[in-house]
Amino acid sequence: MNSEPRTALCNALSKIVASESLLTEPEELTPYECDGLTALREVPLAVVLPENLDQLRAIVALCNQMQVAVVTRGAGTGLSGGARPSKDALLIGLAKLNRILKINSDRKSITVEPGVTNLAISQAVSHLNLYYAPDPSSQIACTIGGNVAENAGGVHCIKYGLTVNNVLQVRMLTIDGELLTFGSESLDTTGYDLLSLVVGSEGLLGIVTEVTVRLLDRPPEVRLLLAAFDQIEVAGDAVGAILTAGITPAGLEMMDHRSIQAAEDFTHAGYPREAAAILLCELDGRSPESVAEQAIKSIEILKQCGATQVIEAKSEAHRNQLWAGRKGAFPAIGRISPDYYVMDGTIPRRHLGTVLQQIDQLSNEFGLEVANVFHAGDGNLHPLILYDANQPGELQKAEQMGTEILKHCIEAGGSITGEHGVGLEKLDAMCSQFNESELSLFHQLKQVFDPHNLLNPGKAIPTLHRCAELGAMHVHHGQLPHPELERF
Amino acid sequence: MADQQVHLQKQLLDACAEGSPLRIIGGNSRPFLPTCSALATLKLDQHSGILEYQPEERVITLRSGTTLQELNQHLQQHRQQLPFEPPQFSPHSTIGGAIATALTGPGRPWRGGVRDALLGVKVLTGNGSILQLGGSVVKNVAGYDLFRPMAGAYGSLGVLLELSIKTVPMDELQSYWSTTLEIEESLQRMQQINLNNLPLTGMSWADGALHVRLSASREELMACHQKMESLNLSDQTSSSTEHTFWAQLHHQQHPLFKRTDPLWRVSLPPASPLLDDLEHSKGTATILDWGGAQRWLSTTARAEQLRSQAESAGGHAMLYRNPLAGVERFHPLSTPLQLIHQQLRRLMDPCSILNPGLFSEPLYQDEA
Repeated sequence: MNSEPRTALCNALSKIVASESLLTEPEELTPYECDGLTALREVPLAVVLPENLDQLRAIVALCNQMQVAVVTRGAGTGLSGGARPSKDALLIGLAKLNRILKINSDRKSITVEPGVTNLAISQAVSHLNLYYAPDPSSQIACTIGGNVAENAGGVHCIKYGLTVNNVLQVRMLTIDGELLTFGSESLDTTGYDLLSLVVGSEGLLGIVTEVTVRLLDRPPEVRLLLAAFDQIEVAGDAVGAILTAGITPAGLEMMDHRSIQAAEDFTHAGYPREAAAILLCELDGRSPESVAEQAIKSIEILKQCGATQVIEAKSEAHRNQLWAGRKGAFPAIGRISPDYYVMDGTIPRRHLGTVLQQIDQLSNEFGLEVANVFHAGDGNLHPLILYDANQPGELQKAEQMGTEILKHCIEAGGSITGEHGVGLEKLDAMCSQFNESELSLFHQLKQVFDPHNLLNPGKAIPTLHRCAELGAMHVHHGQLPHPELERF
Repeated sequence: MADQQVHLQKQLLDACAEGSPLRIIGGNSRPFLPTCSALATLKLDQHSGILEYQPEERVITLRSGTTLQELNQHLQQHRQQLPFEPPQFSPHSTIGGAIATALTGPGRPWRGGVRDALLGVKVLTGNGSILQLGGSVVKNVAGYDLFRPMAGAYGSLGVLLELSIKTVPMDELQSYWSTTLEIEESLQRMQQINLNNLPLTGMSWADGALHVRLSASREELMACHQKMESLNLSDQTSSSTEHTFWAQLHHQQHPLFKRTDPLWRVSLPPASPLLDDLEHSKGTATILDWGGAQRWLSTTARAEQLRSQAESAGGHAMLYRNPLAGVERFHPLSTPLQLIHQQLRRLMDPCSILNPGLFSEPLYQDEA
């Protein structure tokens, strides 16, 4: 956009929000140039931080009138570039819309503004012994508006579902200024389930202005098992055996030998260093009896499957210590490799062994090491490809290898993204997962809500004629974006 | 067990060419539900068979004409079940019909709905394209979740050909509890029970009694025993009457469903009070299900009264059985949502031949 319309836009915005809520100078804009996917950067046209719904409505009306594109941002912790700004688009940050609007303990629900952080929701109802179940690793910082946009997951999805399974109602502002309500506090609504379309739509259909989520009773009993294996395929089989036996762990996580070594060096969690793989199996429930029973059964299965060692956390402190290794796995890898690239594919669980072997083969072919850390219970892989961006060609090799890994995920019947979203990062991979008719349908659906393509244009759904390589999450010298956040 | 995809696609393309609407039928076991007036039918009952099921995945992929009976038996062999407990109206009820109508059993508030269990669909659109939406893995955030609105769309967004659905381990054991109670006190009592962190999978009021169902392991059920007694509920686990009650409620065979008055399904937020002069009015027969969030009212009350009260309480009312002349079956949509519905439908069924007329369609037809 050339300077004249930009000036007109900024002048008009300055009449809507206070001066400190409108950022236009280069030094103010730079902090917003990327989200958690730091490899992709672009300085936004301007940044506006509305403080209430009226301001937001006025801003959106202005953008619609001037036909200025909009990128919406929560906390900017996303890992697929969904909130990466564009030089031609206004970045609307919703972090100031952070009020808790209503807690309804009888209905076990809470209504909040989009800028409330994921963890703040659970904190707001902890005195009622309730909590909000989806727990992406960035939960201390990420906002519920962003969670809705991305259909965020976390460690406990296997038992408690994704964001879409836990959101009851969303209010959304459309580009033409309509404030729509999707879903309700009833368990169903009349007509089509449009709420499902809005959740995970990555800011392409509208701007979330209010979210009502269901709350769960906090399980009073939690136990954590750690099982070590001398072959990673055997650990994969154990995951299937636990699920086949009718046990639904609250979390079922796997780490391979390289991740174990790195995590142990970093956090001293007490992991068996020699193991080829470990499984962390968290069990929760209402009564000590039921959880004890699940634990006994799980230990037996793990041993039968060939676990060389099964440890049970003896106390809450011990449990936290064992989790610390898993939660610190990403920064731990950052200590052993100058850069790494995080993948996010899902596969049917039974193919864990095969796909891990394929990743191993790719690792040999490309000459790049891989550390595997993942939500095994959901078949959600997070292979970390280790590389050095200072070595010419390594970055491209890492990207190519990532693309190959996602192809294997699709071939195994899985998906290119389990929880990080498509954003800008996986536009290419979308072309492998969906055919032309399906992608066309997605574009037409966007048109229903946003006929002039003003909301987060160019993200999430690739154009039919162009599926360009677009980059990835590259971590340089262990400098994770938001290093204060746990990444798992 | 056969793959009828090619045949179905041809039938649809022919209908499309002739501009002749199609009524989509599975086992034809729910003729009492809203349906379109098209004379030509697209029959899916022969398009059946389980395509992929590995118990360890807890996902089943199957053709839509597979009967619920076959599906349930298959899952039971592996000690698994569908989480949403679809009612089975006859041995011919199909999984396609269950997904399309999104009806769920008594456990809905605690186990989730059809949309929560659906992972992906292969769908035949109104212009004859075959699309794969969603997938067969539990975690998948690629593309819009266009497959989820297929649950409850009554076929109007496409003909369901194949479905991938999440399964859960079979309930280890169930216990049943009940107490005699007037309807006026029932909602408060349900609320009290719901706040006790129990393994609830059913809580209903019917015929002057409150009924509670728990599903868990033997150990956990034993641990609940004292709590349930302190809530003044008596153990009916060995009562055949109680087993019958839950089966009848689940499959909508309770005598209330056989009355000839209009039967309304009212969906309300949990913990909503009774509606004024409705559930407990003279001449109205009522079942409160889902802890009060789903209410069945066999009543001659005016549709406007019912709908406005349901709407004020944050819910909606569907005329479920025994229709009334001039009364829409589904609760009317707000204008902006109606427009989105029409546009979405046009995307999936451009010639308006799939079960037309079900969801507030006049505007769409005018425009078209």
